[in-house]
Amino acid sequence: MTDALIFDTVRTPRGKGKKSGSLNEVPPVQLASKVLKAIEERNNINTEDVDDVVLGCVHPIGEQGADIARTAVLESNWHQTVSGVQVDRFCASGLEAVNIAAAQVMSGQADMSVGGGVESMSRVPLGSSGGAWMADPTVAYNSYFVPQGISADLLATKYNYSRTDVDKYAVSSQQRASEAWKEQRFKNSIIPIKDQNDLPILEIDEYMRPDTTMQSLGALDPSFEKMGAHGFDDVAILKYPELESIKHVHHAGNSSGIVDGAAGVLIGNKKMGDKYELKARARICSFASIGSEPTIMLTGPADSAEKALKKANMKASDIDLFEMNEAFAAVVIRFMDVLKVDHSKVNVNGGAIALGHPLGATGAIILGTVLDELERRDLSTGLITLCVGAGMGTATIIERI
Amino acid sequence: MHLNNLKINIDDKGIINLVIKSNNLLFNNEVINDFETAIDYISNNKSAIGVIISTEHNNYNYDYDFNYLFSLNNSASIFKNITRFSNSLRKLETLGKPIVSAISGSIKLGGLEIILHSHYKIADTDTNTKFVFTNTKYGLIPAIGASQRLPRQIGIENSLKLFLSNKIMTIEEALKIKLVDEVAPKDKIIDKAKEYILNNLISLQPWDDKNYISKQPTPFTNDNLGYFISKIAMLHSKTADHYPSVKVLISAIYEGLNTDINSGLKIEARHFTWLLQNIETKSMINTLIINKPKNEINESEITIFKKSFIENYAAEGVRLLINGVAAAMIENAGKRLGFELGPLAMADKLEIQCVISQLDSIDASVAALIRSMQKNNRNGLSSNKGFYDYKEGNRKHIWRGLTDLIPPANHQLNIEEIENRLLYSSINNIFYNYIKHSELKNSQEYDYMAINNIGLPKWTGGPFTWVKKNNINNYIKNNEEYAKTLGSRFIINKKIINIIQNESV
Repeated sequence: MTDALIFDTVRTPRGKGKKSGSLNEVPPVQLASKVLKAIEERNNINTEDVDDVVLGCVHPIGEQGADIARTAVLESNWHQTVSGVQVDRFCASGLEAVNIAAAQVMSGQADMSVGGGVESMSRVPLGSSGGAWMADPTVAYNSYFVPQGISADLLATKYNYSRTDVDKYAVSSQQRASEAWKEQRFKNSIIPIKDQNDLPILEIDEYMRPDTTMQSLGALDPSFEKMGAHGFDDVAILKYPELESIKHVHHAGNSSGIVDGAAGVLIGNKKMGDKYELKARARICSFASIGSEPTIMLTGPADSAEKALKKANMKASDIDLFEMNEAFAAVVIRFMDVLKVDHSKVNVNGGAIALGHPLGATGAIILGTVLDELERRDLSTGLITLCVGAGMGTATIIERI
Repeated sequence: MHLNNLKINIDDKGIINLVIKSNNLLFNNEVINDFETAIDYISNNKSAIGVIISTEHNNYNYDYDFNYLFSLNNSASIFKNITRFSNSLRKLETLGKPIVSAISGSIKLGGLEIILHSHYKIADTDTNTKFVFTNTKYGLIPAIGASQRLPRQIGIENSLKLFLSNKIMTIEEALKIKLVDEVAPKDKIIDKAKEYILNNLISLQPWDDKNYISKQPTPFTNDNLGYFISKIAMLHSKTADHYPSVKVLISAIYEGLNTDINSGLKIEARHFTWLLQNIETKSMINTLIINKPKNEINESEITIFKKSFIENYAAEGVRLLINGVAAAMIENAGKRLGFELGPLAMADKLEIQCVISQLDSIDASVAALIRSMQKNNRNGLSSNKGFYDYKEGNRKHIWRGLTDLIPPANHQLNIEEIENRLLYSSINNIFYNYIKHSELKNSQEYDYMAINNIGLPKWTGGPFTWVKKNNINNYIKNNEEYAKTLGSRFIINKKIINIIQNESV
């Protein structure tokens, strides 16, 4: 099998995902296109050599609809022979896109591909693509559908994570992200977003709240309590009758932030590396996606990580650094408990609680984050994983070369 | 043309009056045939300019004929006959000529099904005109289009409210939500209808207008999506996995409103066909409608059974606790079965001492647990302390100290096993008291009383119906198994078995 080599990782800063957010004025196709242009310029490639652009996007409707990957290719003025495909594995779409691009290279069907993702949550809001899973009564009944926030609280209730546990985790995410920014640890991958006049729009991850404390989080009301009281808690308990009630511990401060952003990873074989004299920063060792129980929904990362580890003939202890998407604090805590991984190895530069989670892009963003950090620390192996809607998980293992 | 159920009059202007003759019309084969004949006649009458639907008895108190429906013994036959009825009225609806209904008196679901085929609805103000909706939960969904036409006319939310309540809606309210278009005194209503026809010689339903489809409310437009998602959860949580008509109704609306009326009608008919053959639906219709007692049940008769029934339910919960089942599992099993309270919450409500009067031969440890609870001053709801902690009478949570008194076993039964045990114990309790008081009623009346008055969940159809529908041999076998370890309440009196075996299913 051909090695899938990572040549470059690029991401935008993350803007607050609301109308007052800095990236709200930038259409999602432009966010994706700025990433592609940066990849072209930074690596000095002739885009005719790129076989495919695979982009994750979770709400592929409206201005994110009609295959935003191909649209971004055209808008970037890349060669017309470059195809584009949009993929949706909910929150892991960006990582799935990287895995698909890697698979194209590993199987010898492509020499060079881009995997990445984009989501403008301020312009195409969360939930706007609807879907049978939650809205079709037959499906929602049969799968005991509850919204993700209820699942996160169900997970915390089932495994006894208290409000203090999840808030402590959230404070550490903010502190680590703040530290990372102070030390410019994201500088290798991040590109400033500028307008058509070269005027700056956003250069930093603007969602962060470095001054977050246990006390400030303590003042926040649980986000999903009201929703739970309108039937969803009872549906969760129908599936988990061992629980008397659902304890609602998650809120805006210990859940991932709603933000806008895009990212891309340039992946190719050795031939392409040689042709453009690109340094192979890492190789993709293995990847895996799995399905898990859909009502609790968010337990998939450990299962997908174990599957990917097995494929790579590795153990969790062989991994130097983990990026486990901080969809909700309890999800990361559960992941660390199951894999018996110490917090000192997980999300060392903070995560989506502090920085935000632009759904379709996050997987590709955090792959770049862990690779940058492996280089900074001169470590070797990284595992990236995300929990996924409807009970799934996706994981990728990379190794520096 | 002579029809038993319908009459056709034509005036000199060519306005046809289709009069429903029968009082309390029940839709059966003859009625469907009559509608087909009458509507074929109307469609072939080229000089007709419009149709007024009215009734001779000033009401639309119509319903399905359940004996007829249950005589259709396979899916193909149900679907075919429902579709035949629906297609016939659909033909009237799409004639292109104005169809007006003159509405009087009380209107049940069957009446609504007919009325919704008209393009204009005029209600009379003199006969106490009202829509009387029966909660779909305990019976059937519409069969000939009401689940499709009503949401297209008054919106999804209003429709679900009406279908899932026992609401009585006055014509004023109906006018407000545009379920009727106009009201008039009784002696003016036919004139008004004729006036409408003469002013609207070409007429279509909005959903047959090709401009309408883009404006049709769907589960994904306007605020419907959020409403829909949370409504599904609310309904699911309240019915657990029983009362299938609720799920089927909301499914028919969802699937039908994402397409046009013709596909919607087929979608509804398919759901109806499935639902009619569902065991729970059949059980409820048998007991609550077909075999409904003629006479009111006497409160004194109910009391004999009810006290014993709820105390036994509470006691079975405590016994499960003694057997090492976690309290939350016991409570959730009761709720999943459709009881309003879990057994332990019920024990608290009745005061936990009540359990003592229901003790079985081998329940010494149950009595011991109750005594320890009482020593801890945990007597029940009135003192805000029982199996639960309460604050001013509101349940907070299961008492944390309970696991010290009676620790849950390492191996827990699955929830279905717990539900089964609660259900068997409850059904056996009713049978036990039936034997003691069998002079009062026959088994059908007991079934009705059990689900309507005593508190056995309605989806069972009552103890006799439940055993019949769920295979008497399993019932006997499972009880024998329970009786080995759990006590004499699982030993079934032979008389009960004889009654069930001697009655047709």
